[in-house]
Parts: sequence; C-alpha cells; structure tokens
Amino acid sequence: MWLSSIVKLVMNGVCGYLALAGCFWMVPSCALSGQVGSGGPTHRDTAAMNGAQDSARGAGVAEHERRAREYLQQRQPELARKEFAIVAEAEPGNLDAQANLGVLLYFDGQYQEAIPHLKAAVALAPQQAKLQALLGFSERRAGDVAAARSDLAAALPGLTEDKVRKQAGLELVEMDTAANDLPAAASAVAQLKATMPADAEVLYAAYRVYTDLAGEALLDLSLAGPESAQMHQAIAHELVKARDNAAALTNLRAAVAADPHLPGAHFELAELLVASTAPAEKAEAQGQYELALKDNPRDDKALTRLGDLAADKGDHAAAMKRYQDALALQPESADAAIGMAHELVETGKTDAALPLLLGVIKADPTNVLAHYRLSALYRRLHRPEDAKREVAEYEKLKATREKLRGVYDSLRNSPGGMKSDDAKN
Amino acid sequence: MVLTASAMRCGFAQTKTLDAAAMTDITASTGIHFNHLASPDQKFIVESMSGGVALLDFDGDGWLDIYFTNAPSVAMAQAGTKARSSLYRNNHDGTFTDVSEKAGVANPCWAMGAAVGDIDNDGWPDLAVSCFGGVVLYRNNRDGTFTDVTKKAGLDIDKGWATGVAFGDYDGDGFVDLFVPHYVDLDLEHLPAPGSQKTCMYHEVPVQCGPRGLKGAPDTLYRNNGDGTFTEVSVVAGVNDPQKFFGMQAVWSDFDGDGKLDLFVANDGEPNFLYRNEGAGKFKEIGADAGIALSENGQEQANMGVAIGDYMRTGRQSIAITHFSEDYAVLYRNEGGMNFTDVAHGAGIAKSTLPYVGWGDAFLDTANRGLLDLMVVNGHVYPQVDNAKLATSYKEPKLLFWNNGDGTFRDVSFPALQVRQVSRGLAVGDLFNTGRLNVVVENLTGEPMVLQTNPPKGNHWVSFQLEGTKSNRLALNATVTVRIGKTQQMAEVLSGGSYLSQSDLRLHFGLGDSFLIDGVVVKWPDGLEQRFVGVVADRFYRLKEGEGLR
Repeated sequence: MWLSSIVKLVMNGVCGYLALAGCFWMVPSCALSGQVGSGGPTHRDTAAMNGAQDSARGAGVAEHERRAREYLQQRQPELARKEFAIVAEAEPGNLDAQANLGVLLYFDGQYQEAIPHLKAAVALAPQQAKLQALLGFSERRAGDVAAARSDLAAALPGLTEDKVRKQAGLELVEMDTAANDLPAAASAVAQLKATMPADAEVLYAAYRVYTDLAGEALLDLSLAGPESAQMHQAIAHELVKARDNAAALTNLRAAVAADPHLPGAHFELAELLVASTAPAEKAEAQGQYELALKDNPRDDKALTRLGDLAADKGDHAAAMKRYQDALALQPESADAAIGMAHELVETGKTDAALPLLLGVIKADPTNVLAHYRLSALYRRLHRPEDAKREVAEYEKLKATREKLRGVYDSLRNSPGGMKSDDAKN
Repeated sequence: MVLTASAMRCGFAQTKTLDAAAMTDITASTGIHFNHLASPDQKFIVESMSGGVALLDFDGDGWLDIYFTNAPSVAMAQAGTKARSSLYRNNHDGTFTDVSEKAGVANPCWAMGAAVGDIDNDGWPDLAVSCFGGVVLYRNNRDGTFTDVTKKAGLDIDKGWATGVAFGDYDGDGFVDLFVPHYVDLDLEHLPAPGSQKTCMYHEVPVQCGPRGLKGAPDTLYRNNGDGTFTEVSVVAGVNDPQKFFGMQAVWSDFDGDGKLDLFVANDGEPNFLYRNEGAGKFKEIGADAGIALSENGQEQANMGVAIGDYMRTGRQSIAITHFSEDYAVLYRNEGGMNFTDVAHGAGIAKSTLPYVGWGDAFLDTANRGLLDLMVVNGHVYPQVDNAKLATSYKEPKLLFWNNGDGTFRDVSFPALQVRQVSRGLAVGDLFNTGRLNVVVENLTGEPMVLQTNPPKGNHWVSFQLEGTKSNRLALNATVTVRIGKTQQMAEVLSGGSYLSQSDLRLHFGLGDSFLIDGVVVKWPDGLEQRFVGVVADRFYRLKEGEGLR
C-alpha cells in the first residue's frame, strides 16, 4: 500500500493544502478553487480563502474553516475533520472542505463516509485526477468495486505523480483481472508501462495480464475449435515456449494438414524444421518456407529465411534476390538487411553493405548481430578503429544479454528447466 | 636438382574427376593394432578427450613413424591401471612395428596428444606429450629411444589438464618454446556425476558433465632457456589466460607476416585467442578485433581442432576449426593485416559439418592438384545419444571438402570416410615416401584408421624438408612458397595442430600436371629468405638454412 496510515497535515497559509501519507498526497486548495472557477459550479467556497470575501459568507462558516486549518497545522485531524464537516454541510459546493474532509475520512479508514465528500469534490473539480483516484480507492475499500473501477479508470490517464499513478493502475489491474475483464486490465497496464517502463511491479503486472490474456484466448479457442488448425497452431506455440520442439512440430504438421493455407503455420513449421538436429527435417524447411511464401507472397520473413538458406549454400545471387524482395516489402526488416549486407560483402560490394548495417543499428541500437557484422565489415574496409568500436559495442550488449541469461538461469531451479544448450557446448 | 624454368611448364592441373579425392583405407595392411581405451559410458569428460596422434621420424631414417596417445578410464586410473601409448616404427614396406617399450614412450601419462619440436637443436625430433596432469617431455636420444626429461627441463611444474601443445620460437633465439593450453580444472576425487547438474544433460539425456559448468584452467608458456630447461613466462608474455577459458589447441604462425611469431589458441565454448607478437617477449590478445574469436554471428563455438593452410593461395594462413554438433565448422579466411572473416557458409563447409562433433582437421592436397582440400574427423562425446532417438549417433563419419579453386569447397566424402568411428586425432604425412599423402586418424574407441590418397598419376608433387641453422633446427614456422606461372602455394612447418596431433614436418605440394616449379621461396624464422628457380617436381628435397637444395 502506498497510502500509509500515518497522516500528515499541514496548512500552508491562505492557499491551504493537505499533505497526507508521507507527503505525496497533496490537495492544493488554491489550485482546486482556481481551476474549478470557470467551468464548474459557482463556489462560494472558492472565495472562502479570500479574506475580503469572508464577510460575504456567514461568519460562522468562515470561523469553522479557519479552525479547520488551525487544527490541521496542529496536526489534529479529527478536530479538523469536524470543522470541515460543518463547512461542507453549510456549503456543499465548498471544494476545499469537501476534498479535505474526504481525504481525512479516507485516511481515518472511514471509506464509506469519505465517498460522498470525494464525489462532491470530483464533481466540483473533475480535472483533479488525484481526488478521483482517492474516490476510487475509497469505493474499493467500501466494497463498491464497479464504482472503484470506473473512477480509477477515469483517473489513471490524468495522474502524473508516479506513486499515485502506480497504485491506482495496479489496483485497477487487480480489479479488472478479478472481474475477468482482461482487455481493460491490459489497457491499464499499458498506460502504466508507458510511463514506468522499468518498474518491476508494473512489468510483472504486465506479464501476468498478457499471459492471462493469452491463456483466456487459448481456452476460448479450445472450446470454439478443439480440433481446429488454429488450435494445433496455438498449442505448438505453447510447446515451443516449453522447449518441446518435437511435440510442437507434430502440432504444426497437424495444423497445416487441417488447413494447408493457415496463415503463419508454414513459416512456423519451417522455423522449427530449420532448427532441428535431424538432417531430414532440416532439409524440409526450405519447402515449408516456400509454401509460406506461396500462401502469402508478401511474407518478408519467409523471403528472408529463404535468402538465408540460399546464402548457406553459397548461392549469392539467389540470396540477394530474396533479401531484395524482402526489403522491398519491409524496408525496416533487420534480418533481411543484415542478410543482404552479408551477401554484398561476400560478393565484394562492401561499400553497398555499409548503409544497410548502419540503418539496422540506427533503427535498433541494441541489435547485437548488426554491431558484430559491422565490425567485420569495417575490418574489410580497413577502418580498424571503427571496427574496434563496434566490437566494443557488441561486447557490451552481449554482456548485458548474458547477465540477463544468468538471471534466468539462477531462477530456473528445477531439473525440468535444463535445456540442451546448457549442456556441453 | 635445379633447372631453369622453361616451356616444360604446364600449369596447375584442374582435376575434374572427384575420384581423385577418394582415399583407400589401408589400416589392415599396416600391421597397426593399436587400441585406444575407452569406457563404454564415458561418464566423465576426461574420458572423452584423448586421442591425439603424431607423425615423426623419430629414428632419422627418412620415414615417418606414428605415435598414438592413450588414456585410461577413470575407473582404471583409480585402480592404478595405466593406458599404453604406442610408437609404431615404419618398416619401409608399408607396415609398422610397435616399438613403444624399446623407445621408452609407452607410458608417459594420462595422455591426450603430442607435438614435435627439437628442444636442443640436435637435429632429432623431441616429443611433448600433453597429459591430464601436465606435460611429459621426451628428449630424443638419437638411437631410437627417448628419455623423459620433464623434471630436468622444469616442466614438471605443470600439473593441469594439458591439451593441444605446440612448439614455436616466439622470441627468435633459435630455441623452440612450448605453449601449453589447459582445459578443465578437474578433480578426480570430486567428479560430478552424469546428469547431476543442468550442464550434465544433453537434449534431456543425462550425460557427462562439462566443460560448461566446470572450472577452466589458465594456459602456460614455457620459454626455452637453451640449456635443456624451460622457464614459465606466461604472465610476462601476456598469454596466461586469466579468464581460464577451456584451452584446447594452440598453433604458432606469423599470421600477419611481420616476422614475429603469433599464437592462436582455440578455446572450447569460449572466444578464441589470437595473440599478436609485439616483440620483446610480449603478446597482445586481439582475437575479437581480428574477427577470429567468434563465429560470423558473434557466437562462441566449441572450438576443438585447428587446421591452418593457405587454401586460397594468397600466401596467407587461414584457419579452420571444428566444433560440436548443431554448430558448424568455421573457416576464417585470412584477409591480411590480422583481419579474418568467417566464410564457412559461403565456402560450402558449414552445412555438412552441422550434424557432427568435429575434432581433428587438416588442409591437405588429396589429389596433388595444387589446391588444399579440407578433411575433418568426427565422433560424439556421449555414447548415450545412440539410445536417445536424437538423429545423431556416437560413431560418426568423416568429411572431406574438395577445394573448388575459387574459395569454395564441395563435400566429397567418399565411402571409406563413411565408416563411422569415434574419431579424435588426425595427422597428415607421406608415410611411404611416395609423393602421395596419408591421413592417420586416431579413434577414441578401438583401432585407428590409416588412409592413402590416390592422386591421378599425371599429377606431380614436391616435398621439402627444412633444417634450420640460425633458425630452430626443425625449422618450425619456416615457410615455403612454390610458384608455377602466376599461381603460388605457401606452406609452413608447424608443430602441433589439428586436434592434439602432429603432422609431417616436411612440406608437401601438389603441382598438378606441372613437372617444373618456376620458383621456390623459403622464408626462415630468423628472416633469411632463399630463392630457387626451375625446381624439378616429384622429388623430396632437403634444405639446410643458407645452403642449396639437395
């Protein structure tokens, strides 16, 4: 919980604000009143902070408001709350009183009681996302999950303070997931990821939502078409993730048998075949890539792989034609560009290869292979310093990857997690 | 015999028939009945790595003899049983006789491989045997016997798992020094059981552990003091491998032609080292910058055997390295200036090597065409694969790649090579002084294989045996370049190489249909260059540094 039970209350001069829960919960009343003024209801309360206008209001209300601030300064939230309650009752449109009362009630654990005041405050200042987030929190804790989801979803885009945004987002994801509304959860987590791309909690939430989404889709698919080609294709995906390539291969074969034109299936089958240790299966890969291309002549990935196979055979002309076709369809294809660059180098056209590799790195500076190939190319071009720089960049990126791999390895404790590539060589 | 070049020149022949590549299995007729010991289960990595073979003329009769290394199983070693290595003396009639005991080299150690060098410049080849537990140095007594001088030479300080050792005179003092790569830091008392860790599994099958997951060991360079002793200089020289990579095979060569001997070290599953000789006894490791540390995709490979040769006829030594299955044998083309390019795929050797675990390899002119072909021998390390339905087997065929003359090769693995064995070492030499090369393959399990090339009768050849005077006596790392017309070939006298093996120190050149060589250039390690013109083919020449061909 980011909302600590400790409440700090500080009044700051005329423009009062509440600072709660470790100082990050700030409700600047000046800002509230100022922003609400033009578009919201007419607020006498807005003028409450202006001494000149106090005279126009009941002297009693002004006195209660003054006391409330005083109590806040003295860190006596219970007394302040009572004074704000009197003000709010007398002036329901008093944003400062409603907001502060709602906040104080919330942090006192009186969620149900906080709700009407926070609702009133949100109605008075709908642009104050933090208030709406607090309303959502109150509603959730009071058991009104539907309202909580609605308010947190509305508040989330406007929250700019990381801690509040993260708490609101994660609570929303939790509730959306519990309600089995995974698309909504995905939307929320995507918003969080956009501003907190390196936050472990956020990333874990994203991982869970996306895997749950995939699981849900797989479940739906298994009900809708248990024998369908798509079902076999999906199961093959799962098996590949589990590194059971043999079973994945069986399912992909079943998929293309059920639907020879199943989008993506021939390519995926070819990818497994080309990675196989069995020469017969490896030899079959080319045919599957060609079928993938026949089904979808715009399949730049299949074209690229066919280029790779031609390159492996030393057929430079065929390889270059494939890579050229792939790049015509998808100029941003890193694999095709790297493959094309390789063939250009092999055929002595080193100068033509350079912009291809530079383009790949410009688009993705973390492309390890491109850096390594570029280092080799620079050596060919007698540019040793550039080659050394690229080798250094390659080694840096590779070290990062290996560190990541080390993390995975250390976390994978079960013997079932052992893979062939971990064995000798 | 030196003649003037004339119209007799016909140029290198381009043999069209692949029959020329075929070799004959002559093992049975050689009388060699060596058996390399092997435990059936190969439970421990140390049981899988032995099997280097050395060709050397140990008795100075002008005929190559063969030394097969041997190693016990762990169980045998724990029971105190030794494995008998064997030296076969050439009988000059196509057969060999086991003279191991008489020569005093039958039980050097838990032997891995061997390399030749003349440590005292007496003109007789001495023998270094790499062991699981250091090195053994045999000094040639010039009478058909050897003496173990390991302790006297100061090499008994080496206790590690030594692998592909090699001699080379890196400091140019005329005495060959010894580089000893070390593999795994393995304790026989605490051997990890098969399948006990994730690095002891292969495709979900429990197998021997390592090398990944085990501790590596640093490498060692011993400088020859010129008085029969050696001094360890690894750290000072900068070749000590502080990262403790799994050192496998070393080869000395002046890769950039600057007159200083460089050192290449293949590391199993780790980046290779290329140590550029900076002079004054110092080296700088430049493997990554030279493009020779990793594959063309920037991946470490299970580097095992190292073949070096001028297959492009550019006068530069390129390097081929064998690897584990599911990875390809790499071919680093030497572009000059310490710049190498992995061209294995484009050159046509990658694909055929993918299914096999490769070990010994060598460039050799199988048909005396004037072009270096490439041979690779294979054999898995896990006997368990036979029962695992993995589309692979413990015994594997050998591969021969025919040089097309344009930088590419063609897989022409003929029937004799299809005999499946668990091969390790490979050495090349003209065993019977016929002008036709032989290939000797040591297998981990069972008997070796001896192959005879069958070049077309019309193809000529020449062989040079060099003897240094100011340079080291065996002329290690001297080069000979033969030129016919506009085509030239270069070869280098090398210690060690392939996989833990030693090939013929004589340099053999196929000449195609030319029976006269326009020019021969000999570059000695001390910088002396000698030139000869109009050299007649089909002869064995001897050349003493600074003197004439004879």
